Amino acid sequence: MEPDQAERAFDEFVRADGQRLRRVMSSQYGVDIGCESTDAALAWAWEHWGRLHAMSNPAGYLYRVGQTQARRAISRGRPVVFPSEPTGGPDSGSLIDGDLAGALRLLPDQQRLAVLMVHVYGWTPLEVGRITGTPAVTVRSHLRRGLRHLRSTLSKGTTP
Amino acid sequence: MSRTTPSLEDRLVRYRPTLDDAIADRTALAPSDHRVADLDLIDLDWPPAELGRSAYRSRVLVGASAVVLIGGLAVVLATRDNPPVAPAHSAATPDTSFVSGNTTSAEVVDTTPATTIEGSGVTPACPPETETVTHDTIYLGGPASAQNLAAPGFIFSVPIGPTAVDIAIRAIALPVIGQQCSIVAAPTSNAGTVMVTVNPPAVPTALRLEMSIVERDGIIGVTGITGSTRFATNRVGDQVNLTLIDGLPASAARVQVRFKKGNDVWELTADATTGTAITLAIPSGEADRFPDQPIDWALFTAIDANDHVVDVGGGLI
Repeated sequence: MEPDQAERAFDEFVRADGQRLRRVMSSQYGVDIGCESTDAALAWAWEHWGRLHAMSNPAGYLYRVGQTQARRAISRGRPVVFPSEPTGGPDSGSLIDGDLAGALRLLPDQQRLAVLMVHVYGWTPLEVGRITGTPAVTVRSHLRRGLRHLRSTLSKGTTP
Repeated sequence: MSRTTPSLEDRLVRYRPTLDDAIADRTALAPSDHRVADLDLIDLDWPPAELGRSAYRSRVLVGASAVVLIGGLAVVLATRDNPPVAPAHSAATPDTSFVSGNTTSAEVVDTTPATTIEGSGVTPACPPETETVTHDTIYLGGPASAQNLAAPGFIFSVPIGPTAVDIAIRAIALPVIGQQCSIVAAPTSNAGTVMVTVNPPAVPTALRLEMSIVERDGIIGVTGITGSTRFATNRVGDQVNLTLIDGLPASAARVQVRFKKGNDVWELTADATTGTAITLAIPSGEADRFPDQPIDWALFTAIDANDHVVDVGGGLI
């Protein structure tokens, strides 16, 4: 591939899959770690584009690259961070019980990923599984448990 | 009117813009014509230095951040010596008041250290009273991101901590963006975000550096930088050796080493064949103004034939 073509192909990949990867990583590891891990993965992709481009599932491979980075960050004690929900007026229907961001932090990361990608971003369990290399049935299981866990945490009001 | 509580699924759907905004804040780059505010400006200039000793003078920091930065390797590097000649593309005014005349070639001794302390480059372990603030990665290439110094309009977002100080510390990466670059950081309207402009834009290379940043007594500093070249330092008596364990990257033509002893910063240069074992010695004919003080830190820079930095490493000794 000519250098110009390779650059265009990489730009296209970043546009198409970079944002998807960023959402996946941020859902699983929080916004700070997720975005940094995505940056690391995309930088790795840039360095190894020739190799990555030939892969059948480059986004899935990069997910693994980013995951390694994210786990390293978490092992160093970096916090998982989610933004707080905005609150609206009393009749807006947005008054809510419990701290959603805090409850999300308490979820195991695979459950958090499944809940956010399916219910926030509208992905199917199959799509989540395709990028994470997980069978759809497993993603559904994470989703069920994640929702149950979230409901329980929010109803108890035990978020930090 | 009664209060309504949406279902969990509804809450999650409504959470999307909040989550997307947070991701965008963490990702967004400023437009290239973004003007940098003058307030609280930190101007970090890293032009090439002549060989030999230069006066230890700070010309780097403006504002209260300077006080916070007095300490640690980051400070030593940020407040580095001024060279007699300004770089061609530097935004800084040449410092004509300083004429060193100290251009004696540095002495580079190719020796095999008696005892090598193995290390990944993150040297040495922090004393007990230090607390690691972060261990982070910066990039010089790839897609635009909040960690890519090569990206135009690079924005650095710091969720916690003193942003201006932190970005100044990050400027320790300046050798890798090109020695003829200057870097300017300024706060933006968003708290916790600093806009950094590299002038001229950095040349993207496939380079990433791991940086260890610690805080001690309220002072934040860098204790180590690790690129791809493994290195070790060993101290035998008053002598310190720097060993590049696997040699230099294939593209490197020479290696520059800076080290600090007392208040003086010295620079040595070696070619790629002899530069894998370097004695951090004060060049012959020069006086050691701080004979009782040890070498504090060393930083090496591997440079290719086109004067591009291909690797960096170093840390406290």
